[in-house]
Amino acid sequence: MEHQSYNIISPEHGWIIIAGLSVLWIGLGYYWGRRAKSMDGYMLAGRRVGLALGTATVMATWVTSNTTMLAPQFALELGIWGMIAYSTAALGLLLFAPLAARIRRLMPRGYTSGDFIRLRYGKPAWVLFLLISIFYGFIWLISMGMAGGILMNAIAGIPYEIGMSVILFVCVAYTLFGGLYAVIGTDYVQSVLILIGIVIIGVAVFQLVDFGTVYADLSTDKPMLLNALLPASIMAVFNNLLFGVGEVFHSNVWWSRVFAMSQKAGRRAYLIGGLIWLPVPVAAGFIALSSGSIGINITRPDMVGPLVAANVLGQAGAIVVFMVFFCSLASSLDSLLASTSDLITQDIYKKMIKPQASEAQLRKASSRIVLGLGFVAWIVCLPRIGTLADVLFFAGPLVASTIWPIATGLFWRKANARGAIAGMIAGSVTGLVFYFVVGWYSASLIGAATSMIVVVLFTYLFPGTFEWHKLDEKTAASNA
Amino acid sequence: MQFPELFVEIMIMVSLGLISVSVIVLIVLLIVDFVKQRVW
Repeated sequence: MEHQSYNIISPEHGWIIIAGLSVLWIGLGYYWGRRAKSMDGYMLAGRRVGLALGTATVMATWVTSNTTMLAPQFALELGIWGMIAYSTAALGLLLFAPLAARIRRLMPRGYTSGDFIRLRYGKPAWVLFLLISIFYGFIWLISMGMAGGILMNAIAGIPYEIGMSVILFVCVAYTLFGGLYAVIGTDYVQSVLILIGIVIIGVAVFQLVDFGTVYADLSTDKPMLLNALLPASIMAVFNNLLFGVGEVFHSNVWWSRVFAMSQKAGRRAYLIGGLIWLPVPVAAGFIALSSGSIGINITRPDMVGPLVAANVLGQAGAIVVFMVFFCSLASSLDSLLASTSDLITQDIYKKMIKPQASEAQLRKASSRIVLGLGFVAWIVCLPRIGTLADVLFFAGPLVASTIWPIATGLFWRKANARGAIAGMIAGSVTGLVFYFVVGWYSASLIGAATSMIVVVLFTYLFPGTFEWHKLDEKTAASNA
Repeated sequence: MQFPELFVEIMIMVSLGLISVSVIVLIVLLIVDFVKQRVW
């Protein structure tokens, strides 16, 4: 892979922005984190997060560096369908909204997505689910850490190792201080900055570059990008949609937010957050389409956004892009650190290693796990093995295979453990076969479809009779 | 068959408009939550 530094802004400007935002996040994280006096406070921000912070954290967490880097790349490689394909990931949030309401009602004292699988399907399914979920969460964490270092190096010429270390350190620091209070609070500020930045750049490019010329140039030079009937791109739409749904349905990042939000806020926050996110890939992606008309030579497609912004708006544009990237990275990294730590603390440390652990011991373990995750991520990121986009797509069928066990498990009393386990295994295996034989754009689609068939078949063959009250663990225990 | 120019242009303009409105929505939601004392 080419390790090229574009120095779109000077390292001095880069360091000033990094220092300013880092101080802001750590300061705000510390300030809000003082509320985290109990385990519910540290892990779930007190379980009463309102609609504004809930909506912002959903939106900001889903805007990762992938959204701002990969959406322009999708537009460059798959054209208009590429932008639409990326936008369909919003459906993951929109479809999770009704699930959020149901999860909160069925599990008023739940902590993690692992809790649901364990209580609904039993231990074997739980272990399989944890393997998929922790693998995916960790890969996502690593990819964000690497993206941070690569971006800072490419845009500001900051050495990769230093840039990557700084962003990981900052996110670990404020997550450690304030848990989910710090994560959700900073997510609000980050989401507003991200949206303002995208509007500034998008409107400026739209005003300064004649769209008629862009369209005419594309029609002449790259007509494929305007093709409305491109089969691979249309398949990418469904693949991205199902990957997005799988990511949201299974990941503790999203479940922990449901448990953190008030009963009323959860469903609406996911609906509004999804609607706010929906246009972001289109706005970020169209910038890439104008690169040919501006005369920019793209050697790295994921750098097209900053290059176009700097070309059209000068240093000011590049600085805005740098801030958007930094906020996107931080809002996802902090969420991954917190939610993966919660999953390991609750599902492994408390449930498997030390069931009698006191609240103080759990808090201590949770802090150590955040530190440990940050350290391991740092070690893995250090050699700069490149972006992990391929590994993330590899994880696509694994997470897509969890969609149906979760959706049916929440609404269908007859759904059973055998179906959930067989669905996750069959969906993952067939999805991976298609990943290698056909291509990444078919893997999630096939994984989800296979899982659906298997789960439904097993439900009819071996119908269960699950009692919903068993999902409320403490009530079930006191009734026993 | 190509996507018509007007369709693409409208899609981009609507996206930018929606994101602009989203900023206002987030700020208004926070003010409402603050007034009703349900931010956290």
